[in-house]
Amino acid sequence: MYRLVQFFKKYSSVLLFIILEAGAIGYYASSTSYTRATLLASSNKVTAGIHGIFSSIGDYFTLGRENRMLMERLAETETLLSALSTARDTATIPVAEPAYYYSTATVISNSIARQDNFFVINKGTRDGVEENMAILSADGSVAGYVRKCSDKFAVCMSALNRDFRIGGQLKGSEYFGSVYWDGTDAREMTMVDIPTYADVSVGDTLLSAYSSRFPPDTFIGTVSSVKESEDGTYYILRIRLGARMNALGNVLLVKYTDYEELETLAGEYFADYDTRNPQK
Amino acid sequence: MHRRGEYVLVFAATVLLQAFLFDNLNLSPYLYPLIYVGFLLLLPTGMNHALLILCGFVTGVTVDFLSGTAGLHTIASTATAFIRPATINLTIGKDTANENVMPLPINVGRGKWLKYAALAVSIHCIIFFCFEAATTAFLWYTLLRAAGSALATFLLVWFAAVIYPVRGSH
Repeated sequence: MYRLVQFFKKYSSVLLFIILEAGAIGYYASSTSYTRATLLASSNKVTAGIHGIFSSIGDYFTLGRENRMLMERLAETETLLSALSTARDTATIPVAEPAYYYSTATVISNSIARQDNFFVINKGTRDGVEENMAILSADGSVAGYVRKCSDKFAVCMSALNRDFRIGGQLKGSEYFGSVYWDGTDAREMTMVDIPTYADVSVGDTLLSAYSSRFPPDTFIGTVSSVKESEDGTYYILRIRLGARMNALGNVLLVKYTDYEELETLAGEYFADYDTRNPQK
Repeated sequence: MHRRGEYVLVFAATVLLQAFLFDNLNLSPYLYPLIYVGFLLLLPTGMNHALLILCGFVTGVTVDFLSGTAGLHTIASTATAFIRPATINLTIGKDTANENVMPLPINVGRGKWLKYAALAVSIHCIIFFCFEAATTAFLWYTLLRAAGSALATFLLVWFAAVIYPVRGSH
């Protein structure tokens, strides 16, 4: 007994270290992107105010550029509305309810330096934000999607998160594949599954396709390099991201009205289905 | 423990700087300073080992909570705190390790302090980035991230240690 007491006395710090370290490793190993988003949402209840102050300072530096982008998008939208209005005047076309609803938010906290990056926006459930709404940068490029909401804020999984997936299709081509971030370069994503007999070249435009969250034909980025997979059956494309992830300020939120129904029925068949990290 | 209030301030400053400034700097994936390790480096040399480990654990848990990293900072900071006495023995010397001084360059000598900080920060960053990557798929990339971030952390901690206001006695 005395020896046992002496043993614990002698190695108490080692035992303490093993217990604490094992607990931390166990917690980290069992965490998913959803638990990390939940943790961030909890801490944001305390820290969001301060993040908001920093964010409003940063806004002064990006405001001009984003305003120009928003004005360009507004002009495009007005053009489309005008065309639609003319069409309705000349023919009786029943107008369906829109499939996608757009709103805006401001990023108050963002990271690109980690492997599993998230950003926080200043809108939450009381503003109509829901989990799985798509997030686009001010110029309309894919930036992420909402992972967890609180009343006033929402934690969004960044496109620069190794758990992020989206279906992509090269513009003007019928071939599509899966797009993800491999955790290396904050400006580029990787696309696989495009067969080697497809015609692909550097500079080609990549748009979203077969996504359960993002509207079709949303700009993802442009092809920056093309190489074949080891077995030579498909291309591994590097995609230069359209969204400037290190300078996200104002963003667009997109709600797909039929998301719940589609996800329940056929979510697992979509490229952006969260296989590793189910919702709860 | 002497200078308790001072250490509370250092803890608060490093953790808040990490959560509100360095987590949002977004310079590059290769430059992610982990400034809170400075608090662990500056704890008194003769500090009780178990208390030191607890300090490392609490620091990591706090940063994890604020950054949403679910244990990653805790793994690295607890390990850094655990091996700190060995790091001090190896770089500063056993004599100082048994004294109760704040390990600042002015107290232990600049050369020894630089070795001590470089070793501790490197170990901390290697543990952090290896656990974060959790794969050997991009090992060189992970090591490059650890090296770049360790350098940035080291320079920041060095700067903080140099400008740290030193009182008459320690």
